[in-house]
Amino acid sequence: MDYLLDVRNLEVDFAPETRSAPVVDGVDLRVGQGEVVGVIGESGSGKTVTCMALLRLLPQHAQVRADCARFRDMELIELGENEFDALRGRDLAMIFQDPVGSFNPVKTVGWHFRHVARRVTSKRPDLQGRGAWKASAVELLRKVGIPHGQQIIASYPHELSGGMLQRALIALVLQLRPALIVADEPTTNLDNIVEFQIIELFRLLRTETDASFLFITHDISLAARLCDRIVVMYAGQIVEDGSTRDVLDAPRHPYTQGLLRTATELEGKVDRLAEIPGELPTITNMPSGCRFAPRCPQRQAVCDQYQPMRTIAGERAVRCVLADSKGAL
Amino acid sequence: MSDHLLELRNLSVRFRTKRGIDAVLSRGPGFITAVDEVDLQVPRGRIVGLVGESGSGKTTLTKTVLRLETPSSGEIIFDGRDIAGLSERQMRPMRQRLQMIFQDPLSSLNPRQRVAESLATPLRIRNELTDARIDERVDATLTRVGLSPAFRDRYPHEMSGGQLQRVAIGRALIVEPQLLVADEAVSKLDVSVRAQILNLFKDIQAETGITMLFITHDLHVARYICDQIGVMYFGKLVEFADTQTLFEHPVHPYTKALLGTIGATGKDSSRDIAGEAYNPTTEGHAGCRFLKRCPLRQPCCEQAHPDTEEISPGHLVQCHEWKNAQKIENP
Repeated sequence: MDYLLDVRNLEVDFAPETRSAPVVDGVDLRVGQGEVVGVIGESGSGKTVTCMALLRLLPQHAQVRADCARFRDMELIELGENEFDALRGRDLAMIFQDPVGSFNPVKTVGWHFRHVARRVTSKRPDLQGRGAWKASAVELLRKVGIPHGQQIIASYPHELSGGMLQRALIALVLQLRPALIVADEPTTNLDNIVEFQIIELFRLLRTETDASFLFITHDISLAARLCDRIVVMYAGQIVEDGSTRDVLDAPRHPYTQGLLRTATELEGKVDRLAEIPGELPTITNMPSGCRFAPRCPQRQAVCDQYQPMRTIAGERAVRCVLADSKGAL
Repeated sequence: MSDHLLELRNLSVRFRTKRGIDAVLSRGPGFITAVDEVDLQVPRGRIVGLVGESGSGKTTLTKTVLRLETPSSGEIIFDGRDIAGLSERQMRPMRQRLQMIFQDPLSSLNPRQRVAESLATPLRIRNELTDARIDERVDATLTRVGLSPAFRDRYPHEMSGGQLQRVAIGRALIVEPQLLVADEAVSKLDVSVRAQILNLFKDIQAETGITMLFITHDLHVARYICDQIGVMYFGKLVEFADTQTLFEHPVHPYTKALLGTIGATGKDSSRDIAGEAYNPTTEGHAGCRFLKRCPLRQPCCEQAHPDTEEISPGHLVQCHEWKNAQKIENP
């Protein structure tokens, strides 16, 4: 299969001399054409840093290495600054957690649409003429569930609610017609009902656009509703990778099993929640073997050694010694 | 002794948003009513939850109960005594009976105090125990919240979010309060740690019989931990019932929409809800707060916000149209 994005063995480090392990350690990530891939992880799992590294949004002192980081036929890490700039904000787009911070507070929402339209005129001749951006903006706003686009275009960011701004930001990203949209916790700051509506909007968009999505979230039930494939990260490494159905129906890594158990128990009715004991390891204090081993209910002696990803079948891979046996459940 | 440890009667909290000439000349109200004529009863030994979105007034309500905000009108009956009008000095001896746990444990602990000092400070202020007794209590409290006494000498920055929240819970419990107020106490914690802290709250409640007011925006969490749940919307308590009733027979259209987002109701009601919420800074207080987003709205809803109606024992609702909606759903 031809991947739109094909990353192998990505490593990111900030200050190697003080760390016991890289912040992102040996991450493989593949996104097919039109595919929606969910990256799930808790704080410090490296999910955001992975995506920021691919979009070259990390600070200067970050050290990014990979065996391969191919987007279409380009090596992302080797591209020059100018070539990369031409890519980012045209073919590669990002939606951040906080929509307020994504807008310039002293400019109207319309200004942002005009600005973006100017950036993509080579790709979108229909946006060229004077004021052409306006018609397209109103149309896109309607698509993301804002019927009175004319009024929104004239508004300043502080005049709109968080949900409204996140919709406007999504419309803005759609105007780019990007090949890959990276969305980092795009609904975490929003209220329940608005969050639900935005996820519904993403579901609609994935059928209406041919863009691929990389959807970063800490919420496994949210990813389940939206994604074709799920990649679970823990402490800087991928621990499980597979189709959404496989991962949800038969999680093979004890960490994924724990996360899913908590989520299903909260959704059902139990007298007492099952706990994952212990805490996340910190970057200065990383276990040398399996990083989940100190919390793992199925720990063995061999878990003190480094554990590679083990391919079970096709695209399904797990970083656990138990994956070799018939399954951990 | 009343069955209710805490009772709010017609409690309102208003914040002034415009002053001077601006208040006279500009349109719209000059204040925001963050808590709007709320009646709430918290029975002894139960966990009562408040759910609602940001801006619904749930945090202001809890802060007012602890008298960290001053109510504009209404009564706060705590253990038989109205504390709404108490002065700062009169409130001081009450404080150890009402304790709070905040969302962000890192900012609620002094970064320059070791854990043992943080825990001992409230006891030192009371000046009733000897240092040796205080030490014993600190160790016992650490054990109680699932931390080893080795944590005594840690600073907050040396601990993870889950450990810090355990310390914050310990600090609240060490003075043996009657009421524990937890405001989004698990929402900043990592998913894999959240279950531990929720179970800790449950254990503490079961062991000590403490009364709790538990604020959360997460309906799953509310269902797991609470005996009764109140739903707030822009300062109004729009529905209140015991947990099972609320989840199985929600009546208010807003409650139904909230439950729809987690698939708790068979029907997906959240699709019917319009995106634009009520804007308290520009709109008056004439009609129902939920009017703009409500799928049931009728002309009468524009006249006044509905009064509280007890539709079955202990199940309170503020909605003009709930009866008609039920007729449509179950003809």
